[in-house]
Amino acid sequence: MKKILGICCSLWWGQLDAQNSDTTGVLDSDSLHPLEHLVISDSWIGTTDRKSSIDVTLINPEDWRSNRALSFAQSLTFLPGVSAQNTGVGIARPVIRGMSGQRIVVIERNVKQEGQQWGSDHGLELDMFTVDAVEVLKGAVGLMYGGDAIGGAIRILSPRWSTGKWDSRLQVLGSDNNQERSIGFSHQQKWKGKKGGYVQRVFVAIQTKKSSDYRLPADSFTYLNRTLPLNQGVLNNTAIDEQSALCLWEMIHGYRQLHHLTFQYRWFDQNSGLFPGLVGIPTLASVTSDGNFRNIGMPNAHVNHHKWILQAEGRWGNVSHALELALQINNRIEKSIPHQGPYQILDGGDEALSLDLRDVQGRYTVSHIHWEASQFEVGTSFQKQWNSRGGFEFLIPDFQKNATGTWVIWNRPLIKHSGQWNGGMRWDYASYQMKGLSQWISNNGADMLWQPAIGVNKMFQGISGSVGQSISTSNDWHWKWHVGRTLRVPQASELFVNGVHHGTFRHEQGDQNLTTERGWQWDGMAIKTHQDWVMKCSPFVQYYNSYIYLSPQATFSYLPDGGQLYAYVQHPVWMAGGECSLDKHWLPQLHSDVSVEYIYNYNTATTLPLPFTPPLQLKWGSTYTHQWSSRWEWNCQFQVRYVAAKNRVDRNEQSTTDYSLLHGGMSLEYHGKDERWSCLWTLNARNLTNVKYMNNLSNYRVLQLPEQGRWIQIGIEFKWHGQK
Amino acid sequence: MKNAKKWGRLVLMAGSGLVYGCQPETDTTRPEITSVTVDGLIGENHLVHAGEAMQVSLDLRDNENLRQVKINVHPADDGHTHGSGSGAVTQPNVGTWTYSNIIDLEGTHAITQLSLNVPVNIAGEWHLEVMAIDASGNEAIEKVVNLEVDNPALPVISVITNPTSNTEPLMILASNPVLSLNVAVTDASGVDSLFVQTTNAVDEVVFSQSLDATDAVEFTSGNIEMTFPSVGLYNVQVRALDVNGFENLWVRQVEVQ
Repeated sequence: MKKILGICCSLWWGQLDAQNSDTTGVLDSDSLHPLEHLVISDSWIGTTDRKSSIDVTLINPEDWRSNRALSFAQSLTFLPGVSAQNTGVGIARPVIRGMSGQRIVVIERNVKQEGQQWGSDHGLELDMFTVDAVEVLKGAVGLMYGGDAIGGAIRILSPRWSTGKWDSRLQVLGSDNNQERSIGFSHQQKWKGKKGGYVQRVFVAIQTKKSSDYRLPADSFTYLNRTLPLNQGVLNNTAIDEQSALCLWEMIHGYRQLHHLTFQYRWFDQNSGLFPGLVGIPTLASVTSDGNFRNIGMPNAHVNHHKWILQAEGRWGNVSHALELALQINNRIEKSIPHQGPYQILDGGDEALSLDLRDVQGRYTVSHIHWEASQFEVGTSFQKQWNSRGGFEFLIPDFQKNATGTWVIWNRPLIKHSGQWNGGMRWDYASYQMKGLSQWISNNGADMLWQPAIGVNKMFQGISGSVGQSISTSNDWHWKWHVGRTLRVPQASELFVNGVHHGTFRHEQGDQNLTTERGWQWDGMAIKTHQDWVMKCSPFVQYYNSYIYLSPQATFSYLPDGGQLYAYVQHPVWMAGGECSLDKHWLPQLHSDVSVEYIYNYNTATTLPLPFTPPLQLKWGSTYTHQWSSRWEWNCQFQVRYVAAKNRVDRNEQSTTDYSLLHGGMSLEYHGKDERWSCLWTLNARNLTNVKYMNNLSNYRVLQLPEQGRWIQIGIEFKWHGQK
Repeated sequence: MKNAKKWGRLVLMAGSGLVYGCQPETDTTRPEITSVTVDGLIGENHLVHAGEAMQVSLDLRDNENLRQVKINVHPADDGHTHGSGSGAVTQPNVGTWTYSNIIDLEGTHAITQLSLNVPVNIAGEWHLEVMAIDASGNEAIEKVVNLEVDNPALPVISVITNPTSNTEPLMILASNPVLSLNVAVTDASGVDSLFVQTTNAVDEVVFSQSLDATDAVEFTSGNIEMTFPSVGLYNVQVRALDVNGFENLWVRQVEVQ
């Protein structure tokens, strides 16, 4: 297969195909396409951004579909350097090079997704149906998105434009094990203006998903040192009921100068049962199934997320302006029966924890400012958050957060080679106003005033910066390096959390004296292309002067359902590692990829590694695609994943043994006459050999609970297209 | 030469990803709970008496410095285990007893002694759980001993059922969903009252009856007959209260098929 090495500015999901008759000449604007992809092969390994020194991997809709897993985050784990931190099945958050939560941002239209992401058991409020494709940015991207992105970013791409006047899509999925059933429908309608001056569309997608209590290859679990049986391996009360929607209106006006206006609303609602054995002190009665695998009883968690985004972009002369405004409302309510024990909250009701977060963001950038050979982008952003709590439990207090950032990014073409210099500086400021809390509790029968939080104001500020190169030294070699001084403002949970976090099974305690997390990061990348293969290596080295993490303390929690106390501390930490991938095309229809990834970290204060560090992984996959005729296309693929044993662990962290997993999938697609409709049958299987294994990134590992066994999902998808 | 430069650059980049560091010794050795002694005896099972003080002695060791020990008493009648044992539930406990205490320690060896008062109105199975941490935050493998609380002051309940069955739950056919109980209660200080209650799977009361025992030392209820309204699982409870306010409990699950 002949490789294409070149500039493919048109890779923005067929947008140019859709509008080449009306907005040609302006749609290749960088303001619409912030990352221009250097396409080297048709696999994800060969995608990067030729202008940026950041390592970017594009996952197109086909890769996204064929690697579909139980959650958004788990679907990304086929990429080297990307893992998922699971809490049971269906709830997970992404991990990039060992970093997650407050160090990885999820970006949609330059807006940071904001929820209760501080909890490692809190999944991402995103479904897979309404997300068409994503980009994974590894390394320090704080310059663009602030300190919360020091570990990387996941950028949700806009759904691809219809090639006709409209298109519709209906997807039905079903899986065994947890009896997941989902149905999703999307429709978009496109209008062209007179004389081709503008094009606009409306896109609507909805999805509903239900799953039942899931099964594990285990017959018991251990929590708070108590071992209880699991009847037939069923985790009682772990059913999930989820709905999501995406509504989008978008207009591109390119008659004279490019103007792009978008209004988007995204909604996610998830009601999930919480395994009762993990909330409070576990008892046999609480973990015994009620016989109904589909109901959601007590305890449970309800997450509701609304996100409105207004994005406006325009180009006047050579200068582009972009404005994003967003409002997000994230509500999380956990319900449970008040705990029994020496300490007991006197308030009644079954609302254990309520966290209501309101987030307003704004971002204004001016780009393509030319000065001699250099090009500049300047921008400023603000963020305001209000968090209010409720319930008889306490984790984080009511607080307000104000944050602002101002940056300048510089690009300059190289003189000797084809490529770019990148660099920039950023100033960030953030402040917290935290409200104190006093609560009456019963201590061994006597009333006692408990004060888990005291009112305090905190302020942080600092400057970060980076510089790097992206170089094509020849037709078949492309290099990148990037060095940055990073800054991350501590999150509210790191400063103020205080209580038993049932999702992580321990008493977590914040520290109001934490300072900003500062560090140095170096990332490199080399891509070598050949006639029928492409190789990519991405090493990195990082040093943090004051890395913030949860560390076991030499003290016990005084709370009845809390064991050892875990507190946020700051230590100097080294991290190094990288990913190497090779993609080989054996035949036009057959290609294989193999990758290896490793992370080494070292806490110089404890002389131990950090907790939850992904082990060495080897991934090998092959895909075979066969086109029988112009109508029928068949695809088959598998991936073998070897995960090494993890014996180099933090204090009190349990080691895990090595394991190998086999994932596979098949799809068959039929195209109707004139490409007006198509039907796609899919079969996805994970852990085909039903291996019982412990994942060292799973929150359930501390309970001696293995990961889910064999999981098979079948699906059917219809697409209808309107006339061009 | 050109290729060598390229490969050299690659090796340099990959090589710079490696971090070499001297790793000074750090304490990752867990402290050890050498022994847990109850009333001078070492063992997994102990018989203790309601209303009396229980003497507990803990022997703990660490290679560097001990920091804390947490002692916890909790009911064991819910079927949980601590890694070993059957976890089988026989009869629910009578009364409640919870205890939690954190004691600071120091040194490489510590002997901690405490006296725990066993409440006067309880009987059944409890666990005494001991956890320890050293100054570096290493957590010991916990030790748990079983406490069987004996209480001769409680009323003694003896129940004869009709039909009789040794199985749990007791099976009754839906064609004749009737259960008869004959309850005998003895208490040296006198039995005050007897209360029989049956609940269904969702805790709705389907039968209840109270009997005045007139402070008799031995009291028999006679035949108590209950009819179950439908098939399903039921919980039958008999509670006896003596004149001193001490209460005992008899519980049986019944399944109507």
